[in-house]
Amino acid sequence: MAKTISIDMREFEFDAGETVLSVAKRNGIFIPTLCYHEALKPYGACRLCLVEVLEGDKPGLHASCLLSAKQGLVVLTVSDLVLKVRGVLIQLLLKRYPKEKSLMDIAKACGIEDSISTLTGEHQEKACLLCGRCVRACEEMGRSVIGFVSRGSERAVDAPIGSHKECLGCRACENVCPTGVVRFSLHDGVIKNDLWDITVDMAVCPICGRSFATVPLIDKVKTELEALSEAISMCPACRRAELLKRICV
Amino acid sequence: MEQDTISAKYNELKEKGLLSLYPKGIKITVGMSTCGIVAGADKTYETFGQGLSDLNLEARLTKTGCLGLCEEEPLVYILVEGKGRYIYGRIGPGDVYALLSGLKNKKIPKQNLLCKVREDKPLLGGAVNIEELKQGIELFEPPGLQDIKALPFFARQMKIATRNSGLIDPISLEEYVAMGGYEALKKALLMDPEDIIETVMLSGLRGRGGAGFPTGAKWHLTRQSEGKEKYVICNADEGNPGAYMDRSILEGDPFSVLEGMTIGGYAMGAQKGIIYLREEYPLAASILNEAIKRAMDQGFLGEHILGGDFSFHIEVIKGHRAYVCGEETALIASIEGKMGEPRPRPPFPTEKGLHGRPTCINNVQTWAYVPPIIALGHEWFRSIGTEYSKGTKVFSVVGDVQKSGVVEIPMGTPIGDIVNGICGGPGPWGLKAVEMGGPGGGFLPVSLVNMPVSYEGLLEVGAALGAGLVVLGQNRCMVDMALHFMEFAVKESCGKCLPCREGTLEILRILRDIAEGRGVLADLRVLEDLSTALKYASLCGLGQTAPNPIMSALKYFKEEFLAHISHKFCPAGVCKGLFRVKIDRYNCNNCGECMIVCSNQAISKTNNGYDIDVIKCNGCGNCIYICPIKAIKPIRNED
Ligand SMILES: Cc1cc2nc3c(=O)[nH]c(=O)nc-3n(C[C@H](O)[C@H](O)[C@H](O)COP(=O)(O)O)c2cc1C
Ligand code: FES
Repeated sequence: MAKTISIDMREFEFDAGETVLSVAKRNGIFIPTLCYHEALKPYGACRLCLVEVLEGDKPGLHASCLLSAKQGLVVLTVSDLVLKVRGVLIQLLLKRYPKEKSLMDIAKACGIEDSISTLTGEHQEKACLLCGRCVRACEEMGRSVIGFVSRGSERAVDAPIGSHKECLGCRACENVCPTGVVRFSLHDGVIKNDLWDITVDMAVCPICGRSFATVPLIDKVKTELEALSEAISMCPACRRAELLKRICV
Repeated sequence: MEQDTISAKYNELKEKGLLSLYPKGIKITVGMSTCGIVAGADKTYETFGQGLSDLNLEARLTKTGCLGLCEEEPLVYILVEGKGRYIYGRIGPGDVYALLSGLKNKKIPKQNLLCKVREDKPLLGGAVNIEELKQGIELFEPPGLQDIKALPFFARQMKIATRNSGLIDPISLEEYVAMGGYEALKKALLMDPEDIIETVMLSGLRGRGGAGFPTGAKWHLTRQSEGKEKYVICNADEGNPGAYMDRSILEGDPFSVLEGMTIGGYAMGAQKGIIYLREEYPLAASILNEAIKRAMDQGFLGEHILGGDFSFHIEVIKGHRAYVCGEETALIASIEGKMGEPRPRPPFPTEKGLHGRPTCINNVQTWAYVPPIIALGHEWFRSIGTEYSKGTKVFSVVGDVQKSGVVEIPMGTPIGDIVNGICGGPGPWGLKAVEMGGPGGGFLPVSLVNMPVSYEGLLEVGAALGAGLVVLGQNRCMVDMALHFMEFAVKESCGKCLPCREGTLEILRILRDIAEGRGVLADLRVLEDLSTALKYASLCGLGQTAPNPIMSALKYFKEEFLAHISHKFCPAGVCKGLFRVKIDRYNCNNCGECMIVCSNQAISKTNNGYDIDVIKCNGCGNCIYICPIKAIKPIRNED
C-alpha cells in the first residue's frame, strides 16, 4: 500500500523524500511561500509556508518547505494558529514594503486585503524582501558572488568588492527573484546590475557580431569542454547530460 | 599503562598538589578571575609580592579563581599552617601592607576579615582539616571568628560544578588531581562507553545552556549516529547580558570542563573537542590553553590518554561576538567559517553537526557536572534536586541586590532563598521582580519569588533556566525593562528569518511608543499577536523566546503598562515625561541629597525646605532614588 499523509483532513500519497509543501502543491492545496523556489534547496527563512502539525512529528508550526512527508503525518494548512501567525508575518512584510506588488499578490492570495488599501497607493517600487533566493542561486549555480551583509534589520544582499569580477553573468539570481528588483540590463558590450554594481562583458559572435552570452560564461563552457574531451565518445544525449552536470557544479 | 603505573602517577601528582595546596608556613592567595581583576586584584597581587620582600616575610603567593563572592573582590585567602584559612574581602593595594605587618607581628589582622575556613571538604576527595595540619605556627587569632559555613552566602550553597573555584590554582593540574580530579576519567576509561552514557542518562542531568535537554539522551544520539569522526563541543559563548557563571567556572576550574569533555569524547566515540569561547573572555582563553597544554603533557589529553587506546584533542576557538552564535547551529556555522546564522533543524547536530559529522554540544556547566557524576555515581546526583530537575544550578546573581556573585544551589531551592538568604536581599528599594533566563526568559513578580528553581516550574511561569538571575528593585519600570530586553533582541537578531527580523523591530517600536506616552490600548493586543508569531514562527531559539520578557511583563505587571497608556504615567518614575516629582515636605529631613544628584539643577533650597522647579526638571528621576527616606515620589503630570 502506498504511504500517505493527511493534509487538511484529506489523505495524499507522497514520494520518498518529498516535502509537505510539494505534496500540497501537487494536489492544488495553497500554501503561501516566498523564500522557496523549486530550483533551489529549501531555506526556511520567510516562514510563510508554516503549517500546523497535529500528529506524526513535533506538534506545532513547521515550515512546510522543509518538513518531510512521512507516513502518519497529519497537518493543517489552515488552522487558527496558522492563520494568525501567517497574518502577522504578511502584515509585517506589508508594513516594511508597502508598495511591493508581488507581496500584495501573496497577501491577496491569503485573503489579507483589507489592510492593503489603508497602506498604499501605487506600487511601482521594487523592493528586496530578503528571501535569499538570489544568494542561494549564486551559491548553487553560480560562484557565490553575492551574499548577505549586516545583521538584523540592516540585513541586505550585496556583492563584496573583489568578488564582482567573479560574476559569470549567468543571471540565475535575476531569474529567481520574486520581485524583479534583481535586474541585469544590456549596455554596449556589457550587462550591468546596478543593485550590486556588477558589470560583465558580453562576448560577440565572430561571424555575425551579435552579443549572445557573457565572456566568463563562454570561458567556463570552454574549459569544461576541454576537460571533457572524453565526452566526444559519448552519444549526444549522454554528452549533453555530462556537460550539463559539469557546468552546473 | 598498567593500572599500577597509573595509580603511582596519580599518587605522585596528588602529593605534589597537596603540598602546594597546604604548604608549610603561610600561603597568600589572591582571587584572580575576571571579577577579581576588575576590582583591582592584579594590583593587589603585585603589591603582595612587593610587600613580602619589603617586609622580609616568608610566604607563598598564589592565585585562585572566583569563590562566587564577587561583591567582596578582591578576595584574599591567607592560609596559615595548622591554624586555618582566613578570607579577606576588598583588599586593595592600600590594605596589603597592614595585612602583612599584622602577620609579621604574629597576628591575624581583623580588618576586612570575612570568615575562617577550618576544614576543606572536597566533593571528590577526602576532607582536610586545616586546623590539625602539621605542627602549625603560633599566631594570634581574633576571638569570635565566623566560620565560612556560618556565612549565609555559603551556608545554603551546594558546590558541585563550582567545587574547585576559589580553592585551587586554576592551572595547577596537581592541585586539581589532589582534589579528586581525573579520578572520573580513570574510572571511565575502564568502563564500557555505553555504561557511561547510561550513567549520565540515569543521573537525570539536563543541559544547563537553556533548553534543558537530557544530556544522556544527547550523548546516546551522538554515539548512535553513523560516522567515524565525531565532535564534542563546549558551548562557552555565554552571551546573556549579566550572566557570567560559565566564565567563572572556566577561569576557576578549567580542568573540570576538560575532564568532562574527555569523558564525553570517549563515551561518544569522538576524537576532537572544541571549546567555543566568547571573544570577550581573553583570560579564560589563556587559562584554558595553559590547562590543555598541561593536561597533554601529563597524558590526560592528546594521543593515548593514560597510555590506553583512546586519543582526544581539545581546541579553543574564539566566538564571533554575536549572541546568536550561542545557538548550536549558528555556533557550528561560525566554527566552519561561515556566517554565524542558525539553520533549520532537523537535521540535529547530533546527526549532522560540525563539517556534517555527528556533534554533541553541551554547555560549560553541563560538562563540569560529568566528572562528579561518573566518580560518585548517578544515584548520588539523582538524590539532589526536584523530580524533573536533578543536581544543582549555578547562577550569577546581579542587579539590585546586596551581594552579587556566583552561587550554586540545589535545584528546588526557592528563588527567594537565593535573593534574600544567600545574596543578602534586594537593594534599599525592595524587591519588584526577578528576571530569569536572560533575553529569552521572563520576569517573576514578588508573589512568585518563592517558587523553587526547576526547569519545569520556571517554564510554567514564563521564565527559563539558561542565564543568570537579575534582581530588580521597586525603582525599576517594567515597560522600560521589557524595552531594554527587546532592544537587545533587535540588536542581536541575525535577520535571517522574517518573524525575528521584522517582528522584534515592531515590538520595540510599540514599546517605545508606550514608554514615551504615545501608546494606545490596542497596542497590547498587537503586542500579543506579534509575540505569538515570533514564538511559533521563528527559525531559532532567539526569535522563539525573544517575546518572553515582554509576555511575562504584560502578564504580571499589566497595570503598569495600562498606567503608561491610559494615564500617561510611569509609576516607577523612570520613563521620561510620564511623571513629575514631588517632595513630601512633611517627611523631608532636609538632607539635601536630591539637590546634589539633580541632573539639571532643578532643585533648590528655600526657607520652607527643598523645591523642585517643574520647568527645569528633565525627569531624570535621580532624586527619587537617592532620597534616603523616600520623601520624593513620582506623581502624574496633571496631579
Ligand atoms: C540565541 C541563543 C543563544 C544561546 N546561547 C547559549 C550560550 O551562550 N551558551 C550555551 O551553553 N547555550 C546557549 N544556547 C543554547 C544552545 O543552543 C544549546 O542548546 C546548548 O548549548 C546545549 O547545551 P546543553 O544541552 O548542555 O544545555 C543558546 C541558544 C539560543 C537560541
Ligand atoms: S517558503 Fe518555507 S520558509 Fe519560506
